[in-house]
Amino acid sequence: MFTTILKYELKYFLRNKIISVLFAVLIAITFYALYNGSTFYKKQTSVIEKLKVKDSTAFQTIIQNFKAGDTLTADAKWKYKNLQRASWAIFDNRFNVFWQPKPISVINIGNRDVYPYYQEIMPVSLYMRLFKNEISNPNSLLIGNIDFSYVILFLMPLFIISLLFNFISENKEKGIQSFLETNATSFSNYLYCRLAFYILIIVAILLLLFSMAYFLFFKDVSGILFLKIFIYSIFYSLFWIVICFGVNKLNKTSVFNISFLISLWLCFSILIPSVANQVAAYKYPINTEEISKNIRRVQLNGDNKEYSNVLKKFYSKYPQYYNNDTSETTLFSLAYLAQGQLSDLEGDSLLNGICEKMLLKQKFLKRISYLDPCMYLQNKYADLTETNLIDYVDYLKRLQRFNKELKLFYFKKAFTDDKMDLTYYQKMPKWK
Amino acid sequence: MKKIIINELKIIKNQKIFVGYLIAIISLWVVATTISFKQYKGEEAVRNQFNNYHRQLWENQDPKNPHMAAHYGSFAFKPANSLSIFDNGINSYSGSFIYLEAHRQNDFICSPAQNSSIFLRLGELNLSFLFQIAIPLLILSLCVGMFNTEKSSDLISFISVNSFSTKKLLLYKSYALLLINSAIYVGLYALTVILTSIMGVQWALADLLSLTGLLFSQLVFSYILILLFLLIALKAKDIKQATIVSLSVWILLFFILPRIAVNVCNTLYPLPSNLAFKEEIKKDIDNGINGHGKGDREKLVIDSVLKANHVDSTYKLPVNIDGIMLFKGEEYSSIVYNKHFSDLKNVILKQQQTAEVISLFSPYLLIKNLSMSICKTDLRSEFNFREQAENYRYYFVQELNNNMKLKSKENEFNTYKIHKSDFLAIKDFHYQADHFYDVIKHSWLEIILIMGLLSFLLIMVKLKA
Amino acid sequence: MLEAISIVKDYKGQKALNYVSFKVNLGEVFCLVGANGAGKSTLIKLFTGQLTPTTGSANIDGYSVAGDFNAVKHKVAYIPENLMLYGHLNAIENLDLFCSVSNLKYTTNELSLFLRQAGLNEVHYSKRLENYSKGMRQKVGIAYALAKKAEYLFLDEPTSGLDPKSIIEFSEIIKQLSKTGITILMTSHDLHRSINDADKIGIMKDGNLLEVIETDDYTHSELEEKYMNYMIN
Repeated sequence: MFTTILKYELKYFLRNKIISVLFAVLIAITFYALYNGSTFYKKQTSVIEKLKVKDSTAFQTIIQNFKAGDTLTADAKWKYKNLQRASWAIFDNRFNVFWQPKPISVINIGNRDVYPYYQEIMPVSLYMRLFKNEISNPNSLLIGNIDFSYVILFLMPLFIISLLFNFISENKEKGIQSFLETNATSFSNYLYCRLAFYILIIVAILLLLFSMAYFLFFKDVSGILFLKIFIYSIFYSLFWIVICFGVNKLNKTSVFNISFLISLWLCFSILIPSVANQVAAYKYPINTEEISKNIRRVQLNGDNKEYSNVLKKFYSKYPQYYNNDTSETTLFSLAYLAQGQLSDLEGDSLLNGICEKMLLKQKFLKRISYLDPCMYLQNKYADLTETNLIDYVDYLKRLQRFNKELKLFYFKKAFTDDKMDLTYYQKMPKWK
Repeated sequence: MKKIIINELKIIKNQKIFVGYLIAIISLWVVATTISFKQYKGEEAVRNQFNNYHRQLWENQDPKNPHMAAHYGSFAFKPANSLSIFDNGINSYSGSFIYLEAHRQNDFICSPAQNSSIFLRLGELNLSFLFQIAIPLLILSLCVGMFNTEKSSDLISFISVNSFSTKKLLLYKSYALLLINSAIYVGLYALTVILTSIMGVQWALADLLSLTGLLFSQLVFSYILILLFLLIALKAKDIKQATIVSLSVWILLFFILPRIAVNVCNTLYPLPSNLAFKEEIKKDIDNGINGHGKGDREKLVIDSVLKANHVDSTYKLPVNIDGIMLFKGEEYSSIVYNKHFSDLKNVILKQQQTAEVISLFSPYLLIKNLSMSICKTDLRSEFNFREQAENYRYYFVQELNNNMKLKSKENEFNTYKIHKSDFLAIKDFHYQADHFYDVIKHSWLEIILIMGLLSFLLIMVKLKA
Repeated sequence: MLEAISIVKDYKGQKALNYVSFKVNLGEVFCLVGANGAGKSTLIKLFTGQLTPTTGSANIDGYSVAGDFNAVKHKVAYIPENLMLYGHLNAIENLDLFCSVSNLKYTTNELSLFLRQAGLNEVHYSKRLENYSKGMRQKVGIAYALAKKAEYLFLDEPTSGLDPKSIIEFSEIIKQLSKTGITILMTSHDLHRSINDADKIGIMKDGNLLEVIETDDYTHSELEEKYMNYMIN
């Protein structure tokens, strides 16, 4: 019986023009979604490659300037002198840091189009540069991306609803249910066989979509990770199949079924997340305006008394850097370093506070996501493809740490007035 | 005609789904209004607080050289906008302030989306969601059953042969639905305005004018949907087919087509990276946009100033050459920046306009853009703000450069300082939002497309009903 | 044998059937006539296990349908009034699917034979049912009854909405089926066809079986007069 039912359901699937069109549209959108994700990934990686080249060129220039030493022109001598003096060099050198996207992020752009993913920083005054955004069209960000996760999260349930909204009700409306209930051995067996067919066909379609993604758009992606995402997607689709079956079991009309199922889709995909987002924003407000306190350029007014005061404050916090050289040039540059570090210190606590709030907000929403499979899977996709808030916060923290290492690298020499040489430069911390 | 419309109103009133949806809509309205109001009040308080804080810092800063003051910089805060209660637009994806300083055109930093997880991308509940997505679903639900009685009892042929055409029947039904929708929209708009003003929102006359315009646009939008879904209901074999087709159309027009159109336009008109954008600007400033590099330009300026003052050394000038050089440098970098920014703006606007044309059949994208324009939370307002902030930056930096030029001498960088009175003389930044008439003037494409769509549907009713 | 024993069926406080009793002997064709809402379809549903009586019993071969329908299910075939079947499949495919669901295995040739016996023209076998008329779809239903080797056939309003040619064809099929020993319980609004097709006619009104008549004893006009008398009074 099972094979005959499968055979004829497959015929239904293939002969139904609407379903065929929907299937073709699903495949076409998936292809575009993968292309879109891939284009986005390539754009970000190409920017990062340029940054790497820029950084490497900058480092080569430092080496060349060192090698040129004070033997050549006045300009070269000037550069050499600046490089040797850490308290000056720290203001001349720029470092590019970046958040490398994972190849798997092709299937889920996630929030990577919103988060800044590269910064040109200086060892001091980090927060002046930390939050600069990538150029984007906010209108497009609002409407949202079409990526593979969009197909699975939003379109797949719609496809399942279009297949199954009249799974039982159609039989009833066509008189088949009463015909079969009286005539056939077991109507429920017949229904479960059909359900099994739809589960198989949905899994097969998912397999097709994931194969498209894997074979056409990926090279270096971990199979296990891909499999994990595939399994989550299967469970998500199964949820929608069960929902469709459950709604059909209410024994209402096809009109009721489709209206109810679309309302559920709207609730799970838009309404619940929308309300949850607003509640979270209200519960854990983050005033980005506060950042304005720490992004201002560090400024001193050219007054020795002010320089001394700043340094006094700095040495009380960092006695290990105490330097008693009070010559005007040293005082000026060290005071700027000290002021930059003091400002960064405030920035650190501000950023840590913001990150903490962001994570609390995320934790709250994650708890709600257990009630909404669409939210849950969206979050899972973002987690697995490392395009979520937690990955961005992790990037910010790594950036903070790197900045501290850089500062230490320069401060060690700046406050001791030791000269920096090429061997020391080659020990410069590198962004990983 | 009056009697027919009253009869249709009774039919609608008796639809079970109508009461259910009405309750749902009112509940959503309560939640959305509360959230939007609190968000607005929060924004208003925080932005005023920080705007005042930074102005105080500016006014009370220690005496310093004008160029140092120009680097100390100022902030432009986007003022909270009461119309955002009705449509928050792109606010979640754009920042609220810009740091303004000499030589540098900074970007917005830290949009609310930047502090959020992926969940934000699933949407936010606000009044625009209610008016643009939830109420259209109510319209759809009412429309699909509007011909049910006539079709199941063959009343439709009875009416069309004996009384009036199906076209008229459809139009009468559409008037009845429009009446109900108007009551819902007008009621909710009026209640929102009244309640929020009781709670302290100051609605200016211009805002009320904008809201009237928005209300009118929403009504046109809802009439488009009424005609569309009634036509589907009339042409469908039965209520089942009408429901399936209408829901498919709704999902396509509201969720799929706009997203596809926007994404395709992003592919068609790609944006540069910030890295490339800044590098291009730097290149043009260094090499010059018309072949004169930075060195050449500086030499030209010095020569012309010396010539005009009939002296042979900058020390002999009655003005500070450093001030002049900074002034000219700022002027040139602004020209270059404005040129690149204008190119960037054009790409973004082209993305939006093409998306609108591609999704001509998506009234949702049209009303969304129109609503954001009227509520001044759209791309144009965003650019408007950025341009005004940039103009202000230019103004305050050049004021300081002028001060340096006229009131100090070369080599006085460490000794010449300006004081509180000079800082006070620099006016604070005040954002001037577009007037309603300007909004209408600039929304010509959306207005033409939305009216075109309405005319198209009326023609379809005439031909097909 | 089919037997209705004092069947009462309450629907939301109203009596759809009020102590209805009758018998249909093997090979007989029994037709229930009456106005809409008289209880004809309710009776068919009680005999096919779709409803259970409030009191009384619908029996097939001595088994109560409400209590032990599975014992006689293999003997029963039922064709509802608006049987649409699967429009995307052709007649053979539909028949194959439904036989398979009933654990019946037939070759395509055997299935064609059933369709031929049910009166369906061979040219239609490979056409999808979405293009079939009601009469043609009913023939597929009858072919299924034949394939199932049903001993009892229940037909709800089989002739409503059929054109005159199809009605005549249908009468022929009923006669053929009756000749093979199949017992048929059907409902109809058509007195003229009922008197031709059935052995017995049960006249129903407001849930009551008013009278069971032998068709051989009545002419068409006599039946019509009797029927109208019952309906008016």
